[in-house]
Amino acid sequence: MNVPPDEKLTRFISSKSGFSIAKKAVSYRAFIPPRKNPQEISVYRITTLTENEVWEIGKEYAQGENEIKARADFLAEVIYENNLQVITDPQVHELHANIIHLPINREDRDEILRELALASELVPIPSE
Amino acid sequence: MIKSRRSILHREDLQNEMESDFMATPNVSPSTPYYPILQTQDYRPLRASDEVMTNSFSVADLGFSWLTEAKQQLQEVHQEVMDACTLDSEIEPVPDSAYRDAFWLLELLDYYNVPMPDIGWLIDGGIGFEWRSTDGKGIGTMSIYGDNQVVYGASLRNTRKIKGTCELTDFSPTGSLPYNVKDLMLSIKDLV
Repeated sequence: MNVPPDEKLTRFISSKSGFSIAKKAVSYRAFIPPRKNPQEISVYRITTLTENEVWEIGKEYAQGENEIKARADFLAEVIYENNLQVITDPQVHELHANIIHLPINREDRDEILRELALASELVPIPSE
Repeated sequence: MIKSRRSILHREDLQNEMESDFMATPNVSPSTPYYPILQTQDYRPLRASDEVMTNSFSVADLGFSWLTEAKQQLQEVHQEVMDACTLDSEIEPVPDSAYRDAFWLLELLDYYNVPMPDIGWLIDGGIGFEWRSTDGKGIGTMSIYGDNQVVYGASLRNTRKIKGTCELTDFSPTGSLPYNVKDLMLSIKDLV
């Protein structure tokens, strides 16, 4: 099922390379998918969630051994504007979704990732 | 260990070119011996900004280089990747060749007076350079994977976009810079 364009999505970021606190910006590097799934970007649908609930999902479902440090929030419409799809993937979590059809070609891929970075709001994880 | 690729530049050609620039530059006299290799930041004004730059010469450029800081960042990235890879099998190790390419590209960008990029690693085994405009509406990137290629692109405040892939050697100051590489570097300067 496609995610509506007005839904807010988030991409959890575990690497310092994925964002800049000084520039208050998300890097295109935060959206690069791993080689095993080079055409998919894992995101969560967060429109209905509180801040605490968002971070709880991140820690519970998105965080591996590398701790989450920030997240990139953006509207699903930017995905459709770049001719990609975002579909729900409830197997991982009921609010999990995948951006699909990311180009394999790195020129084209990076072009879309730059647009995602520009459209994203950086949300650093709150200090405990 | 990161090694410089300066050896692949034709040092004599570079020296001749730079000395020629120097001789053509009035009222500038070096106070120390003239070393024609890229790291000689003292002589940045003597480059005459090469053929890439159309901006007028700025006194603010005198003697300033971000190269040392950038190399330090690259070293930190190397350590971060090593740490991250041990914790997450999805993270592709960055090959030594990518560090060498990134190292060399940094020297060349500095040589051409391109502003310092934000440097980070890519989960699929590369190094990524990024520039952002202060208003947050422009972005330029270069992705390097150690295959002698640079995947580049920029989005300039929705008014213009460029993208492409070029050979690392296209940046070499010993040859004539391809149009797309000139366009890229000027775009980044305009962006930042």
